[in-house]
Amino acid sequence: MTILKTENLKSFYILDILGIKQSVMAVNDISIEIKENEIYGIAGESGCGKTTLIKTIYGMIEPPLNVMDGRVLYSIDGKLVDIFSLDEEELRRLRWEYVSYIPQGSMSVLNPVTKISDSFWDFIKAHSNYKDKLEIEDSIKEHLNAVGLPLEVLNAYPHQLSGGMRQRVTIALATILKPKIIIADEPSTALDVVAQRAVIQLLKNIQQTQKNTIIIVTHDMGVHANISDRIAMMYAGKIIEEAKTEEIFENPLHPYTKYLIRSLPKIGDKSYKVSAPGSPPSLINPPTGCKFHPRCDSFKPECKKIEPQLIEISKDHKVACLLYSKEMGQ
Amino acid sequence: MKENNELLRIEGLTKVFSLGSVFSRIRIVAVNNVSFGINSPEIFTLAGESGSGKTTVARIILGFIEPTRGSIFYRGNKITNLKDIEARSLFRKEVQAIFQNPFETFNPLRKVNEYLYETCWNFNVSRNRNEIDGIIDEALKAVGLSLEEVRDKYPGEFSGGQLQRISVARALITKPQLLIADEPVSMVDASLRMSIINLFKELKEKNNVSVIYITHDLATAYYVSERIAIMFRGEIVETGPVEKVLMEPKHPYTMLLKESIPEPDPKMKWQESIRLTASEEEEYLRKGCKFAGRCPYVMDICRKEAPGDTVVDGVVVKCYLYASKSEKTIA
Repeated sequence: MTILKTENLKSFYILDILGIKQSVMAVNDISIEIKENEIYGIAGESGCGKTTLIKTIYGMIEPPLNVMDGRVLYSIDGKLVDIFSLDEEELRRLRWEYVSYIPQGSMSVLNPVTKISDSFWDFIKAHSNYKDKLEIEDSIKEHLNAVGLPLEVLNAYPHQLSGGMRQRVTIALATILKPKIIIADEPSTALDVVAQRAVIQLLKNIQQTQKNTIIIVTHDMGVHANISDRIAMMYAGKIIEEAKTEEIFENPLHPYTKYLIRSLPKIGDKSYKVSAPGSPPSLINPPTGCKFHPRCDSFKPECKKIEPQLIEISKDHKVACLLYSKEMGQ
Repeated sequence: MKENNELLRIEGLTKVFSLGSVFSRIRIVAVNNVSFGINSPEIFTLAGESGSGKTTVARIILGFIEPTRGSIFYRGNKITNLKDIEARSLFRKEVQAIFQNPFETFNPLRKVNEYLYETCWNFNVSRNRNEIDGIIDEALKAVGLSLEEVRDKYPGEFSGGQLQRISVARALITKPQLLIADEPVSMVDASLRMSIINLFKELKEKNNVSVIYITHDLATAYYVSERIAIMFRGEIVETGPVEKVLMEPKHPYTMLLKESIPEPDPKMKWQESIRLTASEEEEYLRKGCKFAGRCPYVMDICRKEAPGDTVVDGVVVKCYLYASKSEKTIA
């Protein structure tokens, strides 16, 4: 069942530099459907718009970010609700209880001058109807046990914890009210490999026990291979390929995905790896037609003119590339 | 005592940082008795997590911080506390650094080519403007760019990958023998990362440039380097040929590190869950083996005394597991 849906979503950063208006097309016509109880991964390079996409999905729209077009729909109690039609207070109430957000670099999210337990209190008081003090205390302890954190962290200040522990505390905070959807933006990027593994495993465990949906954004394909059920590849503000994780790794279709998967180094493999030529496009002035065409090795003249649409090639495998839409007879 | 092709030799390098006030002082041994040598030409990886002391080692070699103990030899000359200005300036010229974040390396308000010219003047490469242009162009060509593309542009006009290549080009101007690259690709986009890594390989093969590649990314380390040293909490816990260390890790920490790398292959997902320490300080201050708190094979002796180096199968390991089976024990 669909839990979250975007329809032709467009959100741009409108910049006004000395009277010259420029728009950064960070999310450019994206339609995705996320199913209940799945881990949906969004992959792409820095500056391709992945963080903007999830900010828009979360309804965190602050200038210069503007939603130009499209809708974001949450399925709440079986009804699809357009989040842009809700007022500020209704949206606030949805947050943390229905949808929670683990921001990028959440190492610095915790308030450095309050103890971890105070942060937990703040969250619960602001977002739930608990009345009893003891009840809150019990639920905090129970949750920390469930996510495998020692209770001593409650009395610690953030700087006394290691990076991995701090990130696990933020994840514990984001999941204490058992939200239906957890949006995680690069949850493990600032961490070391060992801590990263602990954090990713924790997220997965929570998803399995609480039966919620995770949208995870990271540029690290290794993390996607380990956690995501489905992956959407983003490039220059667009989704260019979407498929099950195994399919993306074994049978990538879009030339960009192919480059990316092939260039990943692995231990035990010394074969020569090449990276894609050229560099990522500017979102202010993106190339016409297919955004990848200046770097593509199977470039054809029509790629410059026609913008390929995301179409389903085989079951659950969508790609936006003229190479494939031709074969489909379109 | 030194082999002819040995470029750099580091012996017993130790750096102690003091934390806290006068009353509650903690001494953190950020680098503890680290020794290794670089042959010419080779790519040597210094790998470890953040807080393992790998960057401190690089900064000591580059002379940014003074070591508490230990010495560094470049081509057989000791360069720490060196009075000999000539040897030191030779070292400065032949050993060049590449830093982690290309956006921070360059001042956003200065044109990129100024850095290249400045390096030429500082190292007295040439006094002739045309000759300097030629040298810069040559260095940029080696990294797949040209002076025409770079001239009069600001850092904001380049992508991270291009800027990182320019910073490699800057380092190449003085015709270095050794590059010290501290996490050179961690800020570069995945699709461009391999172009920088391949550049190091090419420089080694064509220009005989050695590289100390400092990284936390074992997959690129395996791809690019011949030898690797794994650092943990200031100590090198395992060092040897990259195939041996990464394919059959011996030290329990190396095993954990290797297992924890997220393989870009959905068939090779992590199986069991792992333990983390609550704070980094705790491990630094631990007596005996620093990994004892998390090690699955921990023995009584590990908590009391720090293990020495043991040679097993061409790999040097700091672990009691191998102390009895070893061919010989150093220290």
